[in-house]
Amino acid sequence: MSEERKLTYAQAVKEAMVQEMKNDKDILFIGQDISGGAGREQDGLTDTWGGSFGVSKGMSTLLGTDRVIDCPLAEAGYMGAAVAASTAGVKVISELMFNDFLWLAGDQLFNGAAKLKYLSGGTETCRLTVRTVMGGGLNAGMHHSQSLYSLAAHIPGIKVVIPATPYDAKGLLISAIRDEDPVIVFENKALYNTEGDVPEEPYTVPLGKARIVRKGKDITILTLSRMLYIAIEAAESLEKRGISTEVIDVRSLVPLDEETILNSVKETGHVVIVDEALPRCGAAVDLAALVSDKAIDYIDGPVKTVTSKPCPVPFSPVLENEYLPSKEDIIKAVYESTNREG
Amino acid sequence: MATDIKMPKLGMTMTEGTITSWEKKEGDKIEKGETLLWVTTDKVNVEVEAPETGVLLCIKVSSGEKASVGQVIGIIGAEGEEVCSADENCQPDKKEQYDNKLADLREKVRATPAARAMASKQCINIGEIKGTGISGRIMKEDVERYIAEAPCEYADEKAGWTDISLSAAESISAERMTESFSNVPHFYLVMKADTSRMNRMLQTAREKMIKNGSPKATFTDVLIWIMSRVIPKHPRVNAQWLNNGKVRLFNDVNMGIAAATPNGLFVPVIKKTGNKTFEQIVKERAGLVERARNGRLRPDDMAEGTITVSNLGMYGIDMFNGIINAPQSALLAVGSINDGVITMSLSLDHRVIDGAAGAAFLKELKETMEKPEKLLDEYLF
Amino acid sequence: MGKISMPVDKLGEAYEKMLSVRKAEEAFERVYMDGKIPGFLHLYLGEEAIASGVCMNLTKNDYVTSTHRGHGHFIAKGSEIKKVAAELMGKETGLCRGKGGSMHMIDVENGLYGSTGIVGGGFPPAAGLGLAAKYRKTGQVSVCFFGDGSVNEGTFHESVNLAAIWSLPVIFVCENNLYAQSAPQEYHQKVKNISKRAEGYGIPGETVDGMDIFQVYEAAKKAVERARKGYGPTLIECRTYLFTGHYVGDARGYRYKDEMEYYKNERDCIKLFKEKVLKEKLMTEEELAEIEKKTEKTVNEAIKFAEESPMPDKSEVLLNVY
Repeated sequence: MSEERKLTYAQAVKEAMVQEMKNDKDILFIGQDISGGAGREQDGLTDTWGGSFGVSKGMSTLLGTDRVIDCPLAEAGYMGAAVAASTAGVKVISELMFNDFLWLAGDQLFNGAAKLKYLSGGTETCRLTVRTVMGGGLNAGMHHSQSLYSLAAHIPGIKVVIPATPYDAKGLLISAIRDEDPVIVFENKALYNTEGDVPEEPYTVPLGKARIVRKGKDITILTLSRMLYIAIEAAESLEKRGISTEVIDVRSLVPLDEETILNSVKETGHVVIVDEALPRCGAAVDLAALVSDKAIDYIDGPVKTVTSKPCPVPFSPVLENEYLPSKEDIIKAVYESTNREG
Repeated sequence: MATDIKMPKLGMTMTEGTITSWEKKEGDKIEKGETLLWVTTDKVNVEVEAPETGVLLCIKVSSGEKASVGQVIGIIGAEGEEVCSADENCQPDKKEQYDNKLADLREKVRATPAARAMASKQCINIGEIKGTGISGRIMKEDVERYIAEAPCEYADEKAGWTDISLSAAESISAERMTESFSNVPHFYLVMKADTSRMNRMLQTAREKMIKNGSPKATFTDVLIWIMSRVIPKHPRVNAQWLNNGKVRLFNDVNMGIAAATPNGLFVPVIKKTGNKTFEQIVKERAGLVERARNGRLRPDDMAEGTITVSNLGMYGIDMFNGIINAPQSALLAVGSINDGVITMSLSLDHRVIDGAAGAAFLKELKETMEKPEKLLDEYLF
Repeated sequence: MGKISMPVDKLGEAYEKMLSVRKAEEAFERVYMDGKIPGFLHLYLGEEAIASGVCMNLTKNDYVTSTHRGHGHFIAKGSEIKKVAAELMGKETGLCRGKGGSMHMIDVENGLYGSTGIVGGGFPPAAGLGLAAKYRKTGQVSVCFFGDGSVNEGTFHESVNLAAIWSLPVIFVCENNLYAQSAPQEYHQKVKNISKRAEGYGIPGETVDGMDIFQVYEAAKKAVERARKGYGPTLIECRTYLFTGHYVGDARGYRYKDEMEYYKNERDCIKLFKEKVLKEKLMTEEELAEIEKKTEKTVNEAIKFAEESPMPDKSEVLLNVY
């Protein structure tokens, strides 16, 4: 094991794709500008972009432009094509540049991919992996900063995973690619430069398994995506104030690791759910409902959710900071949940 | 067998009724079909007949008071039957009343689900607990503190009952007894034994030992000493049922002694009594009982027992059957000595030992008790 | 360059519009590099003749839908540069009080119904604004600016067809800068002249040189008149070139070096305009210099204004959601 090997989140994503595509010639990778300079191979101008964040730079050179395919600006079209191709003998990794474009690609994913297995009586599968980018904090404005995994998790038939670390970015993506059902992987653009331990050999992180990142006994904090890091900061502050905090990275919304979540909440009796998405009908309230339903006799304080504010993602840094969940918001919620005066 | 008298449903829309008057009072004999009470609903005054013949043991809802449909308003039973005692809060109808009460309080009391669940399980009126959370919300730790600080006693004067909480030891004991009595197929063998020689031996030993500054020896000590020497020949009384088709036989006799204390029943264990002198047994027994009474027993003191003896002779009990201290396979219950004769009842786990083998043990024990000199080739002191 | 298609008294306005956009974008780029503009920044440098030439035919009340590369449309249509600058910096004095930023601005007072972060997001609203104008008989027209890449989005087809069948007063103005982000036009679509697509919807289509404001002006004038008369939409394709990358920071590795140099040196719309009016002696060096001085001043003041403006109060975050 190469324990000491560090990669960024972006490098981990790329490594997962490259390793899987080298091992399995049936995998195609398609998306907008994932290579760049498409069609200009002979002039050496291709593969000069690598996606909006440079994640896949080098892949079309390595694997060929017949497998790493740039798409026109036609989200409904190429996503629908990816859906169908994934049912017809190839496996497609389809990149949606920003998750905010799910509204464009959504019909083919949610009315198409999600329903195929059900319609076919289980005989057909859509071996599609959608990689998309979520999250605020970079002042990218309201059309490039949303966190829309709850939309996808709402639709049965689509699996939804949300890696927060470089290790999970690689392991969950490999699991997604190998899974026979359509999976949407929500990557966080604000985490692309985060470094972490990533073993070189291919490995999987199972879909539907949460990770206890930090052990504690007084309260459980459930997090999604980048909120993990803010929750850990909050947990460290709380530790100094005598509150022992367990932090669980939910990682996978569909399937959901109810067991790990419920076991923790049953131990601590208190829970705060930190979710960058919006407060209404989202992942946070879904998890709160789970806990309220299945751990009701163990809950010793209000089930608190810390989410973004219910408004479009504002552009101005002052407003975006106010919009996003903060460490202080988490600490406040922890005090309220543990019935203590902050 | 007691029968509940419930508020009857006297119309489609009736949810509660008022008791106009009881025609009988507590203690009265009643015949089935006889008029027992009158109930007023929102429209009419209706006669309610006695559902059984017997004695009106208690009235739970008095004249002039309201009760909801299905609520128990009184009890009929045999004369002298005890039904209105304090421990009946676990009966379903009581629990229902209790839950109703909690439901009423729920609106006024702020408490977390975990706190409510704990209070409900312990039959605690949550309204009496002081909450320390935000806005006085009651949390689990408040309930725990309440239980720890004030073993709760909740009296409902009107209904005529008091709920008392069991101590921790009592709760554990209750659980264990239930488990043993429900799961272990008990049977009992009773035998009398003449104790004159044993008593003489006890007197002699006592005098000698007091001079040595040892604690006062008791009849139980002699019995333990004798049992420990008879048991090895009857390994099935010193055994344990393993639930896997096997029985574990113990090499050593570790004797449990049932001891009543203000905190409940404890069973401290003297280990390896077969290898110990009488004096060692006396000293250890005295130490353990002392610690039990002071609530100072350590977990080690109560561990690894292989058989138990329980003596209620000092309370004038002639004979009784005891519940086996599972997973042990035998318990010897000892009554009082009348005219030099003692009655012993041996409780046995029928899965481990059958009647004949048990009888053989008891017979040899009796014979040894009656002629303890047989053992004197061993060290007495 | 083609013929001078606009009245001589409009030449000053044409130059000022183009120059305002040019100077403002150059200033925004500098300020962005200084770290004073957060987020992404997509500049309009090189394409100034299109917004200017089209908007010279519009009144304040006419509608415009824009793209993610929208600063030029805003400035040419009449938005105050200082308000645009302040919005880019997320300031309280910005067009949207800092809530939108570069890609999400609106200025309804000047008929601007918004830039958008969604490629192809401007087509349906352009049709809708045309529908409202037609129904209300206001005489307003609606202009939809869009790039060559967005033509591949489904909304293009759906919206142009709607405008065509309902004869809506819409002018679809394609800014064909030859690239959809990093994808060359020849890769992402098989038709070279996008105006050809008009035929498929039964409407007029025309390709003009987007670096020649006179050609743009003339085509737009014709289309606007046609729309105002109720004859329906027109598709105008303006072939142009972006002097910078897709966004500030794009290394442009997918472009040919000589192509970039050619457009910048030989095809700069402002340089071409200047040469033409001087050659034809329609404007003097002095007149042009005065305009340059004026725009320079306006832009400098706008940047200063934006820099000195306060950030919005955080309490505004939930304001006006419903």
